[in-house]
Amino acid sequence: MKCVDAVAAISMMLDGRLAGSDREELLSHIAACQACGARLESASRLHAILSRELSRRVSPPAGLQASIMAAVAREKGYAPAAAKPLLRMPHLWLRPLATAAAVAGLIAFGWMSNEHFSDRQTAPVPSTVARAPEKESARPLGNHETAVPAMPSAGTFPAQQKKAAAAVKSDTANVVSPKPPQPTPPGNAVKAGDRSSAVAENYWQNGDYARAIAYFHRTLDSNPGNPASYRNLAAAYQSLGMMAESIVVYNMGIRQTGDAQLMVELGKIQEKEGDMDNAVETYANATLADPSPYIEQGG
Amino acid sequence: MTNEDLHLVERTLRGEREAFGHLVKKYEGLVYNLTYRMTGSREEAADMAQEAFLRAYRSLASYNPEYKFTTWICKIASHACIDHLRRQRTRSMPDEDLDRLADGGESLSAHEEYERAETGRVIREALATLPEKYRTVLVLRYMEDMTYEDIAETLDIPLGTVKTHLRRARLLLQEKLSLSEEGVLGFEMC
Repeated sequence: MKCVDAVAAISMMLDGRLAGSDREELLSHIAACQACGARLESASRLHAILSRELSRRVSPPAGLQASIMAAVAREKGYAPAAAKPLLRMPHLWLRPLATAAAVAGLIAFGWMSNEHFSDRQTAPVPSTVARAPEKESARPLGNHETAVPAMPSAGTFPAQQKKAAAAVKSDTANVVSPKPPQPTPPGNAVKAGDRSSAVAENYWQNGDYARAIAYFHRTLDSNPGNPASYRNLAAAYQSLGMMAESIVVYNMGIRQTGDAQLMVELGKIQEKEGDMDNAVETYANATLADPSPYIEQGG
Repeated sequence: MTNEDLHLVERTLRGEREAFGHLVKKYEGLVYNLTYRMTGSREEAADMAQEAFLRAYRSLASYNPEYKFTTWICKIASHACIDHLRRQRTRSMPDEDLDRLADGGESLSAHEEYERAETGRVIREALATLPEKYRTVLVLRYMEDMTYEDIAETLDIPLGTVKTHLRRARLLLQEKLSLSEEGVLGFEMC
C-alpha cells in the first residue's frame, strides 16, 4: 500500500468503513511507515474532537418556531382538493397521534434564550391568514396607557404593505384570501433603553411581523414585569391571526403582572373568539383588579 | 419516514397548516443545528432554518415518502446554506459564546469550560474556512452520524464523492489546525 492510499484508507477506517483485508493492509503499512502512523494519530485526534464538538446540540433561538410559522402563514395554503395521496410504504402500522399542544409550546419556547435574528430586513409581505382580524386589532401600548386599543385607520397601514397587498391580490385572483391585517404600529413600545424593543418596533413598522415577534420576545425577557411587553407580543401574534398564541401571552402577562388592562384585552379576544364564559370571567377579574379600564369599556 | 411524519405531511397537504407546525416543532432543533454548523452564525442559522422550512413547505407536494423526512429536510437545509454561503462575500465570524448555550448537561469546572469553549471556537473557525461542499459533508457526518449512503442521498452526490469530500475536509482541517497559533489541539501536520 502506498502512503496516498493509506491516507484514504485512514479516513474510511475512522468512519468504520474499512474491514477485512483492506484494514489489515492499512495496519501493516502503518506498522512499517512512521509518517502514516503519525497521520493516523493526528486524524484520530481530529475525529474524536469533531465527534464531540459537532454532535453537541445547541438550542434554537426563542421564537424561531413562531417565526417559521408566521412565514408559512404568509404562503399560499394548500387546498384540500389539491391534495393527492402520497405513496405509502408497505407494512406500516398505525399509531395514535399525540394531541397537539402547539399553543403552549410556541409561547413557552419564547421564554428561553435571548437569540435574535439578523437585522437584515425582508420585503414586507402581507399576511393571508384566514383568521386575521378584519376590524379591531390590539395596539401595543405604552406602560401607562389605559386607552382601549384603537381601530387602525387606513393612514396607519404601511405604504409598502399596500403595494404588496395589491400585488398579492393580482397574483392570487382565484384564491379567496381575507383582507390583510391592519395593525397599528406600537407607537409606545416598551422603552427601557432596550435595543430589542426599538428593533422590534422597526420591524413592526415595516410589516415584518415575524421578526418583530422575535424581538418582542427578547424585550419580554428583559422586562418580564412590564405589562406592555406582553401587550406588544400579544398584539403581534394577533396581527398574524395567531389568536391562541396571543391568548397564551395575555394569560402569562396576567399571571406575572396582574395588570387589569391585559385582562380587558384578553377578554376582548375571548369575546371575539366566541368564548363568552371565559370573557365574562376575565372582565370580572379586570374589575376586581382595577375598576377604571373596565368602566371605560362600558361594561 | 415515520408514520407520524407521513400523516403530518398529508394533513398539511389537505390545508391543515398546524400539521406543518408539528413538523417544525419536531425538526426545528435538527435543522437549526445543521444551519448553525454550516454558517457559524446564530443569526444566519435562524434565517437559514426559516428558509429551509419555507422551502420544505412550498415543495411538500413533491416529497417522496419512500425517503426519510430527516434526509429530505436536511437536503433542503444544506442546499439553502450552500446557496447562502456562495452569495456571501464575507463570512460571518463564528459566534464565540455558543458553547455557553449548548445543551451539554455536564457539570464542568471553570477551567474545563474555558478549554471546551476554546476548542469549540477553534473548530468553528476552522470549519468556516472549508469550502461549502466539504463543510456540508463533514457536518452531516458528525452532527447526524449519517452514513456515506445517507449523505449521498441527502446531497444528491455519488458515494465516491462523499468519501473524497470527507477525506479532503479532514486533511484541510488538520492543516488548518496545525497552523493555528493557539495550538489548542496540538496538531502537527504530517
